[in-house]
Amino acid sequence: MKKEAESDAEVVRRILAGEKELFRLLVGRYGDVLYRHAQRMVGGSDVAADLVQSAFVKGYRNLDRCEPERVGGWLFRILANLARDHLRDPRREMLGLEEIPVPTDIRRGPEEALEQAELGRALQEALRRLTPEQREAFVLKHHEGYSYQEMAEMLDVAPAALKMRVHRARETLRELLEGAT
Amino acid sequence: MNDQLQRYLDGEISLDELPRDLRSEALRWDARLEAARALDAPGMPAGLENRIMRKLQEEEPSPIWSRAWVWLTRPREVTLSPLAALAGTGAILVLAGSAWLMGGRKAAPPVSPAQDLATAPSDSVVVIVEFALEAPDARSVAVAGDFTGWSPGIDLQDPDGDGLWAGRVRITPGIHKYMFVINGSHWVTDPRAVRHVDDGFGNRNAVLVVPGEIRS
Repeated sequence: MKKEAESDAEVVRRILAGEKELFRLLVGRYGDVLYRHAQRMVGGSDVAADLVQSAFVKGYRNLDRCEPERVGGWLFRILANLARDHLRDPRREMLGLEEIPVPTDIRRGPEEALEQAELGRALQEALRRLTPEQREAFVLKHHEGYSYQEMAEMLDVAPAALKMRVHRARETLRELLEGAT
Repeated sequence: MNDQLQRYLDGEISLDELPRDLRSEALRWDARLEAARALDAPGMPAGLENRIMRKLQEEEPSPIWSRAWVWLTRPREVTLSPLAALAGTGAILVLAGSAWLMGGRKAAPPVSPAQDLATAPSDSVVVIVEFALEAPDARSVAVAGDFTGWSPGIDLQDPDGDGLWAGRVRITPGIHKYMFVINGSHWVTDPRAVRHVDDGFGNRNAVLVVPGEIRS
């Protein structure tokens, strides 16, 4: 018989009661989502991995402060704050763009895949010129597919303000992308 | 940006509800967004979960032998008089010289062509290109091209056995020609390539244009 997966709330309670190795379950459940968001925000995979590690470590240290049934959203907020702080840090290294990853649809021919990658990369490069707040809103809306209401709950910002950030992000991206062609 | 286009991108209205003159721009946005989403990483890289768990273990108070090891191995500033530093350096040189005389020089490990390609000079611009070929009956598929000296040195993989062989190769920008080699001897052109060119021997090489700055 298949064993029911334990709820987040139960996992958090057991970790706080001393079963610390169970934190691995939370890393497994939310690591991919956090990593993808970090990479969309900061670009480089090494920096993204460092941010995800920092978010989980911070989450572990402060686990007693979270609402156990909402631990996923809470970890996401920690990561989102770290990513924004990273982008605001003037000491951060500018990322190199020497390597162009190809899209995962390998059923295209390599040249078609490269053209597709170029199109995506142009947008990614333009995204880096947005403010951290605009980039975050755009990424959540268009890459991660959240509604404005869901984004508001995640970031504790009003939906109308988030909508405005996304609209401004699109305006800037349009100028950047159409100026580049 | 037009308000209706913003509403379309927000998912509030459909493409059909947009005025005709805005539809091409809307479709351009869709294509860009799809292309950017395709570049997204699938998830955490291998090893990150263990790295995080190791980091968390460091948060725990460790036993005394572990703390002693950390004390011994952690870099720290040491103050030495010039005479003591000179004596220490001399001792290290004597030990290193003896080891060299006793062990002789070792040759660097050989590097295979595939390894060589995979670790192209770090200062050169490279683009990762994914090659793929559907060959359900193949036992092996490799890529050969001017970037391998026409040796079929880059093996593609089909880990799930569905007949789709794929692999990633680091290639410098420029115009390249390549072919696939099935079972080590059967050369075929890439049916998905956008361009082809005659190879002068009755076959057609696939042509790949890799964008980017070409460095001499």
